[in-house]
Amino acid sequence: MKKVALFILLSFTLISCVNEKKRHIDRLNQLIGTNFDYKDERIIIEQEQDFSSLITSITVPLTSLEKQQILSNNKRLFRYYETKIDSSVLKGFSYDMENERVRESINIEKDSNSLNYTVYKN
Amino acid sequence: MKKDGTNYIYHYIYRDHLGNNRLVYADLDGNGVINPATEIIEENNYYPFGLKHQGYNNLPGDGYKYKYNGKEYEDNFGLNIYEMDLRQYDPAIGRWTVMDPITHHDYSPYSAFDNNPVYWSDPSGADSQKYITLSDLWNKAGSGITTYTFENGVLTGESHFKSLEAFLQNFFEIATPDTDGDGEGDGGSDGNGDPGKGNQTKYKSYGEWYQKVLQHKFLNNFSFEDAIFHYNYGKGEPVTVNLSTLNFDDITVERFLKSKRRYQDHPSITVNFLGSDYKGYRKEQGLIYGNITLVYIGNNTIMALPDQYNFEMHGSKISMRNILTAMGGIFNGYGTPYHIYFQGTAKIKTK
Repeated sequence: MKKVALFILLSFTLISCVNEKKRHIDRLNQLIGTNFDYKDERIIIEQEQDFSSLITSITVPLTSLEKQQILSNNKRLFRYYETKIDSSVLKGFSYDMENERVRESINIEKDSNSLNYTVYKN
Repeated sequence: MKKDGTNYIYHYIYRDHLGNNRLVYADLDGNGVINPATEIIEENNYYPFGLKHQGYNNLPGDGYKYKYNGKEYEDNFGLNIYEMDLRQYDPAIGRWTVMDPITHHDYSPYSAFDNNPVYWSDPSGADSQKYITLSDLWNKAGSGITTYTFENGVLTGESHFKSLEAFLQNFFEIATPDTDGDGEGDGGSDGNGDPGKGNQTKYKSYGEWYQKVLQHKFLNNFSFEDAIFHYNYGKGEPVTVNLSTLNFDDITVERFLKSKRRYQDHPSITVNFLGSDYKGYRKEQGLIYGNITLVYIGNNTIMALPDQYNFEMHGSKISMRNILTAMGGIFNGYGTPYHIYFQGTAKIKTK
């Protein structure tokens, strides 16, 4: 009986994780007008969750062309930053949105070909 | 200490609860007694934000320039500012002359003492600090505040009550329904505990008790029992905790620099004290905070985004989060979610 309950629990968990990934990628596509597929294995999703909050971090590898296209199509959304941290300087483009319960942040580093989309949900 | 001919004379400084230099006196005639008429060298009274009162107590002073918050007053060239460790402070306008090196998102980076200069001091210029300690407020017999101690869910110390419930009912209206429709709960001082003896202060509500006593305790010592207690009775009052009281022993700068995530253009990571960052010795920390998002601001220093203590279900679907939430709710009983804000910063290792 316990094994059946555990199996059902794990199934629900797996299903909810898959749905989560699809939902987040759809939202990302909607935000920056891209066409990423949630089934693409290159897209990495990491989640940290506790009783109260859920933090989802999605990393999408980009080609140079894709990176250029995203930045030029969303000129008004992305903001260039240079942050001095200790002896290094972080450079990149970021796009942040925030409301009462959800904060979303998209970061594309200047010197790397990947996009990070993070969702903080309380 | 001042040199008077061949002798050295000690000058004594009386400081108030914020470290402000209020009175300077010395035993000038060496008779072992301070004569207020002749041996008070300087008296300083300040407006709340540090401007010195003028027009009375015009004593010569001894040239010692360390005044408000115990910091040096720079009056050369008519500057009239305080030289705190990291910034300069202008008491005439109650503002700093440069930005806060550690931005608190609730306040302007130029505002001083979290806009509460009678409670906070800021001699470093980087972060407000208080000189009133918990023991001053918590267990000071005869101060008219309280003669009780309440630790880890157990009432100890001088108590005239038989149980925690009796204690609580005598101190605030403990989550009782408003049956008479007067807009107030119907618990309170007619609880079934023995009546308080002496002159202890009774707080009208949990909110008042929280504001006057609990928040000061929580700031530097927020235990798991405190977290549940506040969840059950706190009615959603936010809690502020000093970030440096948390354990970040194995959280390294290296980890931040590898992260592609940014918060306000600074590297950020999420640590999960219940999951990947679980360590037996900080189990309690995990049970309170679960995961926290940290932001690296350089120089081995981190700050943290607000967390929430919450066992509310999110929607009706069965997700891992809702399962965890339901489990938490079962263990912790009924309560109101609240935000936990982190004050100040913490230091971490490089590697």
